[in-house]
Amino acid sequence: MVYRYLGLADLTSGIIALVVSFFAYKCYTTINDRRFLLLELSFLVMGLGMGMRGFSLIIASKRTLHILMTCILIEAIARIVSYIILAVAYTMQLMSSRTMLIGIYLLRIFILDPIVDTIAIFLLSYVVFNIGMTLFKGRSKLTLIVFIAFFLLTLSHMFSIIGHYIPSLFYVTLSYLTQLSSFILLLIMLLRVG
Amino acid sequence: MVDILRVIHERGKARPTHILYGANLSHDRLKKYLKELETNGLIVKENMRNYVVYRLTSKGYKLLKEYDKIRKFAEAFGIEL
Repeated sequence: MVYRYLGLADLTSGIIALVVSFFAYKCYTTINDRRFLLLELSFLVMGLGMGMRGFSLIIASKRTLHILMTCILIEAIARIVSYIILAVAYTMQLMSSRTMLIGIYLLRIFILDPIVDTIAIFLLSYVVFNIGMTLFKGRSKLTLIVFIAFFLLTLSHMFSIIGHYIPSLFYVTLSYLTQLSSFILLLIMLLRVG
Repeated sequence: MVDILRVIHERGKARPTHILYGANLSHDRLKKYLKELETNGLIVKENMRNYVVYRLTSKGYKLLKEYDKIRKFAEAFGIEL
């Protein structure tokens, strides 16, 4: 039963990620800045992955176990791909096909390893650091919201790692709730932007 | 070009000299951008007695508002425009 609620949290986070992606797409089409395209792609991949995992958790049963496992795998791949794209966006480089190939190659090495969360933490730390630097320069409230959102997202992966080693539903739930809080903060940011 | 729209918006209607200083542009660039904005229906030229003024159209106003949202969104993610 708890898994259904976790699935619902995942689905909600996924929908919010898609809303952020849509807004970034609108920004890209208006001013044609590729960094918005990368932001859009990143949140789109993240949102679809979380949405799929959320849905598979909601409908989880013995019969749909194989669907659940596939969706968890897809979500893990999507998550890392989205963080790589986000990291690329923050280095302000154009996404080349070479970068993507390296990303996919790395995924093939790491995807079956529980260390996926560690990679996510590394990539997110890079993003958090970049936003933190901007926050230090500008002290904008909106930047602070996004900074806390990405910090919480990093924290959710940390709880997920703890959940791997301490078999308790508490840390898994905490990881999902931190992730949901992170996306709710992004939604608040979007509402404040208008 | 957004700077041009902003200067006109702040003043309600603006003369080319005001836009030139407000948007910090060269004369040639200003002429080029004003023509482009006018062609795209973002501003309108009004002939007064001895001078001309530019005014924002509703399309121009909408674009300025949209750009403001984009600026805030970019700022939130630490993206400098």
